Amino acid sequence: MRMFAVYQKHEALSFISHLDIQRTLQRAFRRARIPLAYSDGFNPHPQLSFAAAVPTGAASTCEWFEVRLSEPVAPEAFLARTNAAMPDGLQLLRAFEAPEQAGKLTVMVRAAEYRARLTAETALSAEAVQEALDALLAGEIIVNKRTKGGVKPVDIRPQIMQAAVEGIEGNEMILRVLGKLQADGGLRVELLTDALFDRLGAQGGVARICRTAMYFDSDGSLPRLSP
Amino acid sequence: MEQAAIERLLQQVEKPARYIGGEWNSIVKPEASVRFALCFPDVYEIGMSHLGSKILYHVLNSREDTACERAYAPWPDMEKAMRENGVPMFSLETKRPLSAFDIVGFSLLYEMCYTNIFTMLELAGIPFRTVDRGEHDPLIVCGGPCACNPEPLAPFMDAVMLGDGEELISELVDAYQASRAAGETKRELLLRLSRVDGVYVPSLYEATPAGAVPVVPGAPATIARRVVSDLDRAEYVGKPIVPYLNVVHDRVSVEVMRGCTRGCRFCQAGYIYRPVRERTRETLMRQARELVDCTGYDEISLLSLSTGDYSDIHRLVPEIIDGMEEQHVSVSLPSLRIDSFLKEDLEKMQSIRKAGLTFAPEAGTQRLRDVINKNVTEEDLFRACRDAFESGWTSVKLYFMIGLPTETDEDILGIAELCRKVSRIFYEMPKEKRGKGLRLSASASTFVPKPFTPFQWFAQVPLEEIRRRQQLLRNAMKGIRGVEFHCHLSQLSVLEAAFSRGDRKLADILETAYRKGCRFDSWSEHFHEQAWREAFAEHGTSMEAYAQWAPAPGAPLPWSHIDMLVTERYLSREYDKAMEGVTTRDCRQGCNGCFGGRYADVCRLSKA
Repeated sequence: MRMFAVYQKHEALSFISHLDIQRTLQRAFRRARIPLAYSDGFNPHPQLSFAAAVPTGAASTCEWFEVRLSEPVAPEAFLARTNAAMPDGLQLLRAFEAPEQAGKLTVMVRAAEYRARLTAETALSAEAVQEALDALLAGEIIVNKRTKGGVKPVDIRPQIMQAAVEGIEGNEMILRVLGKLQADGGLRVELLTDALFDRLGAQGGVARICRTAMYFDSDGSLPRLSP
Repeated sequence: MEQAAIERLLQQVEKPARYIGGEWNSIVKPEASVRFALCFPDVYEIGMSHLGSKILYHVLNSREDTACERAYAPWPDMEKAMRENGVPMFSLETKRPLSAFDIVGFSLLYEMCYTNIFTMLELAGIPFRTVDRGEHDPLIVCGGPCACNPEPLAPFMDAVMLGDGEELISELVDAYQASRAAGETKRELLLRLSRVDGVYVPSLYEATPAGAVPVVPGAPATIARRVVSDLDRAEYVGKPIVPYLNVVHDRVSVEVMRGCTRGCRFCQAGYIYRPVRERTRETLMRQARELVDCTGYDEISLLSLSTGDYSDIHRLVPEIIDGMEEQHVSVSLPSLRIDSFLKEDLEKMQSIRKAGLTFAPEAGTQRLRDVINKNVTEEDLFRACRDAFESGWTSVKLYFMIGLPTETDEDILGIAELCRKVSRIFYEMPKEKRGKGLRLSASASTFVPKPFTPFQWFAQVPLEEIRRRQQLLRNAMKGIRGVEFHCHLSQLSVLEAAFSRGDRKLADILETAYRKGCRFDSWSEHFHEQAWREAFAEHGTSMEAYAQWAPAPGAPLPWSHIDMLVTERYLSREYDKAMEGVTTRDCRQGCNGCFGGRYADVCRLSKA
């Protein structure tokens, strides 16, 4: 049986990495005695795969993954049993049996929505923020991206589908961003928030990012971007 | 501590998961009459791998009156962020500052973590020395194998716990509670603690050339370490914490036995954990099942100093492998002795998961192996390797030591010869009977003389000579097919030797080195040899003076007031036998009288 499911991570668990999450979920399934299906071969491992890697340091309410079970389990039981074995800050929100013809989540994922709470050291004016964001979105956004081969300048503008200021209060603002997300990469929102801080001349700003939705190119069992 | 203040730091540091707590099975007690901070003076991934800490965490938290919380040394990036933001050292469970605990206890697993104790105390705003701490500062205690020579840390520790901790730590808390109920001063508390068996209170002793002597009436002249006599019924780890991070030993551990009967003369653990005590197979199987169920781990390790010597090993291994197979749990057996396992066991292990095999011949010739009482022959090693290769293993690790007492160039070259023969065994096997390519990784560490071993009276071989021997070996290893050779950083071994047999004067040197920035000394990227040299020089000595010290047998030693149960007379006899190249039998073949006729009740192999 192939199960599609969504987990959320928040608070301190925002700080654990994708690999840590992977281990944590596997162990929670084992504690919950969920009948995991194992791969063949010398080093059998549970067949658990994610729509996308979850960024370390960011919270999320929408991490889609799929897991193969060796025998059928009702989605409600899967949710309840697993959640009883999950540490605080990590929960499953949804689960359902994957439609037979459904492809792999990692192949179908297209975009994700983010909510970023930006805190600057001084108060922000709505005009200045809007102006800075408009100016950023108007052209290329070249940022230094750390990759395996070192730091490289890249233009992240093509990865941004939408970005808007949702609210400003004192030295805090909320940014909503819709970015591309695909198997070969996607928008790294912290690069956008850093660029925005730079543009505003707000040194020492802190961004708390939460991924709030994932969108897929699919048959209808998964959320899609409205055209 | 305010969660938000900590989270701000976490965004700036590498591996923030080291500092978040909240792991599965961690225990948060909002109310408790005694708060015990169980501190490990190294980074989270190391500390979370330590079995003893897991046992103590369980024992302390099983007490209704006690909350035990963990703290690990912050990595230098976190230390810097904490200092810059005025965040004190905090516990993982309730994020309390360390200064708000009643008792702060450090586990001492190796000497090279001592500077990190200062980092943790300083970040907590707790004065380093007993004399500088007031009535309201926490009680600072320590335990663990390095506590057997407590003198380098003596001025910093209010109390030192010696030996097995699972009973002792609770008695320490009882004494603390009784002292509090009686409204005692700290001084009175310390006096009370000195009357608990196995507790050494350094401030009640004066370090003299003849050893540490009590300066108050009632403090015992010698302090004997504690021994849990019935390991099978002793507390174990309860429901151990499952870390998020991939820690060094990230698996379920069952401790099959404590102590070792082999008597390798360089091995401190082989002496200070005697006598050997085993858990029954039934207990181990039950613990294995419970631990797998409550953690979700898919790997289990059978832990001890020499698991192959466990009396029931050939029934335990298949039973545990079969019992765990259905749950997809793999079994690993560290510390297997070359001469004590079956090919069948190997094949079983192979069927579950392929891991490397490790053997420790320690020395390159039979002569030197006899000196160190490593009762393993070349034939044992070859047979073990042949079995392993035939079962499809291609990866073997061999551990050796350089600088052992009486070592000559012939012994060094013997290491290369041994590796050459193992390589030949592999490549002479028909191709269809073995794996493709051999990965024989040989490593040579530098011998460090340790207290409470027959080699405690030996000087460490000087560094230049060690380097020459390493080079000799490196050259001799060249061109052996399938062999990779590594040498360990030998400067660090000199410092380790200085501290392992050090005296109370090292305390000042330690503090000076810390002030000069020394931290995480066992991590090569953080080891500042120059700063250490300066620290020794400022106090009028050198690490070599300590490392190359060769006290005459019978002369007082800085640790003479500590009784680790094996008598000095026995150690001295072993020293003589080593010099004559005479081996000593395994205790299982007959008692050698290491406790001098005492403690017959705790050692089932004792003839007394």
